[in-house]
Amino acid sequence: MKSIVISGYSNIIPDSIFKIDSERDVQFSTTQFDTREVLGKKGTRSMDKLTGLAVHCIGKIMSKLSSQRDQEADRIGIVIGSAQGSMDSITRFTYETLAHESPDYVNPALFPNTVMNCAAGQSAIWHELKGPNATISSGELSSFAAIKYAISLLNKNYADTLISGGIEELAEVNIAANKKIAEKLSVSTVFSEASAFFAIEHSDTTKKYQREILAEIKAINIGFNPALNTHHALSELIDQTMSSANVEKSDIAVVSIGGAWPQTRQVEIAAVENLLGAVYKAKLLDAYQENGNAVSCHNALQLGSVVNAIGPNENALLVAQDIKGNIGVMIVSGGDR
Amino acid sequence: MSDERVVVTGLGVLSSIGTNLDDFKEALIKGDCGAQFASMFNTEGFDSVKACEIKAFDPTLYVENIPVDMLGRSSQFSIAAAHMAIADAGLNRSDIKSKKIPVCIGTTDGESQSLDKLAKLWATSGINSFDADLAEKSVASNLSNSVSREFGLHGESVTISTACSAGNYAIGHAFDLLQAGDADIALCGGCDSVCRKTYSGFSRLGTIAPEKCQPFDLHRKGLLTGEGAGVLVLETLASAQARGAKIYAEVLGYGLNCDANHMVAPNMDSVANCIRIAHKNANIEPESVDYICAHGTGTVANDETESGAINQVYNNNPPPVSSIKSMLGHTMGAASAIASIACVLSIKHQFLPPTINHEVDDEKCISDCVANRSRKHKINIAQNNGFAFGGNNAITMYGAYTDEEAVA
Repeated sequence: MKSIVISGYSNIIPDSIFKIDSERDVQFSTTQFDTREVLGKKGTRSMDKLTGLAVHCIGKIMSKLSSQRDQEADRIGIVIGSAQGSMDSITRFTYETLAHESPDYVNPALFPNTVMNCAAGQSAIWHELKGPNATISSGELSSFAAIKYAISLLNKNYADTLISGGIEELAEVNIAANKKIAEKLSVSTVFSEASAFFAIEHSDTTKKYQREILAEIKAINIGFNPALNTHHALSELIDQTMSSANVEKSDIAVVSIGGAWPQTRQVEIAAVENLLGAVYKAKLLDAYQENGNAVSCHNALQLGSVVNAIGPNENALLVAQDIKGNIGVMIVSGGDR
Repeated sequence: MSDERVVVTGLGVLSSIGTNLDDFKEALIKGDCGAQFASMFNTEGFDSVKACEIKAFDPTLYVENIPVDMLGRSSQFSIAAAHMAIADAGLNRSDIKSKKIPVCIGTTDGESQSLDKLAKLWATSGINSFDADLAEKSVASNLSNSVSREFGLHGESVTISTACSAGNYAIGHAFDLLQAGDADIALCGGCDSVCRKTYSGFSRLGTIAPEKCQPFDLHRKGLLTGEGAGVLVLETLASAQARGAKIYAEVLGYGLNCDANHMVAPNMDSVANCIRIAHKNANIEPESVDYICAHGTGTVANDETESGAINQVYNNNPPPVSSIKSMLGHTMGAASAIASIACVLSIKHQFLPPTINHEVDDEKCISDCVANRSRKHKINIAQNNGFAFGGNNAITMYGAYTDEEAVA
């Protein structure tokens, strides 16, 4: 039987995540990634960091896919989760039209960086991938929604393999914006810069190209919770996802929550306890504790940690809600290792 | 088991040539032009800017459950278009509240006017003067999330930000969700507001027309930026029949591909391939297509490349092709959603929308661009082209709805 599996994973993350002591403190944890240093000077003169993070992280997966790409480039695509593209490139471009004597001083070569699909389009050019290419914006749930969209395309046979995940840069503009938002919400938090991607495909494609199965995505669903502070919508989505994965609660070995904000963590915990009770055997992973809030990349890192944590035939339950009410649930089981 | 058939049962549209469905349809038939002097975005430093704007818009006519000042202009547009589409589908708010109805909205620039305002604050008072409310308003997912919140919907709520073909992506995704049985009804489309960022960018690329947009004309000078929203109610045929809904047309399928060649310049062979993919997925042959609603931006490069790709697939004998961007400008992420509505109307009312402002044929472009006047025409199948920066091509196919199984 055909199943949806992960056959590649790569990430770029900060060297260390700050731990916050004081109340109402907002911190930013960036990667050491330097676009021109890593990718070279050719073709990167106008490339922003967000796009560089995508191009390089996808490149780390491409080593497993190069022979497939040489045969069928139009059957491999890219689906990137990005809440708003490079907010820095977009806002900076407009700023440059206002900061000088004339708007004509703005550099037109930077204009393509101001569309939210820049990273996906540039990654396709860089790695010569002509299959479906999409960018999905769903706030902090963006990478979750991107993976869901990718699986929807695979199920309809629009592609054989999709490289999907999320990207988040921390640059001057979104650091300034995130700081104001966190202050308004009166929370102490760490925002992280990151990039994380998976090769996702049907298991017969994995077999055909003799790749290793890292994990199986047994079921994935996303939805919206208009009643932000209650867990009912998330609980309902968990039930639906467990049922389509044909997994019982006693089968769950690992539970993973997003935990991006204190408010959303409470909802996630309530939904998990509604399912498993206040005391449960399953191991609990908390993506925020591990990585900080990686915004558009948050759930991709969450999934990456789960893939690394589960053994063969073990099942993991991933739940996440973002600050706007986007919710996601995934059941993942261990692969060949 | 065959996939569910998917039909269009509701339409909502906002544009410079009509802010409701009837006015929009009449404007397409008459060949109205939405270009005026720009007043809805910050044009300081530019002279006599023309754009296709929505001059009179009152969000309080549509928004009931969210304070209007918490919504950016684009989210107000997406709620307004969704409100009109839901009403047109014969549904009311209580019918759909708490239902698992997905919302998929395509966009190029998201909440661009909020981002413009952040840039202005930065230029005048420094980057630390950013306002938290404005920053929250600027998040792109608000375009779909605001609709889900306003109508109390529990289905997935995604904003697809694949630039100027995003409307077609969103419709395609909703089509897939319905075919897969994930939902019975979906709201999908696209939305964008005029903004300084996009105007400045196209201006610096030298692709803004000074006066009028003239797709496929020998002397075409570029595009006019526009704004608007188009939302469609898509529904499984079983659901539409069960509630006795009026059916405008059937969604036959769609195609996606990526040029993987250049961020800005379109690629003829790749566009031709995308047309072939769309035809294959819709299970139709080129000969059965009666109308092509072109991407037709009015730039030298797009119109020549698009014409070449169409001629390649149709062996130099394509059906009539027109660009409604000649009338309502380039509405960016809304463009292919509004154009999808034009296709659906062309099928329902059997007419070809015109390409206005046409003066001189260009032999490098398609031969019949429905110049200047709409025509009565038998349309069973319409093709809607959408292309974007990043080489993100997306093409949707629509067919007249008949009771019989779709023709293989």
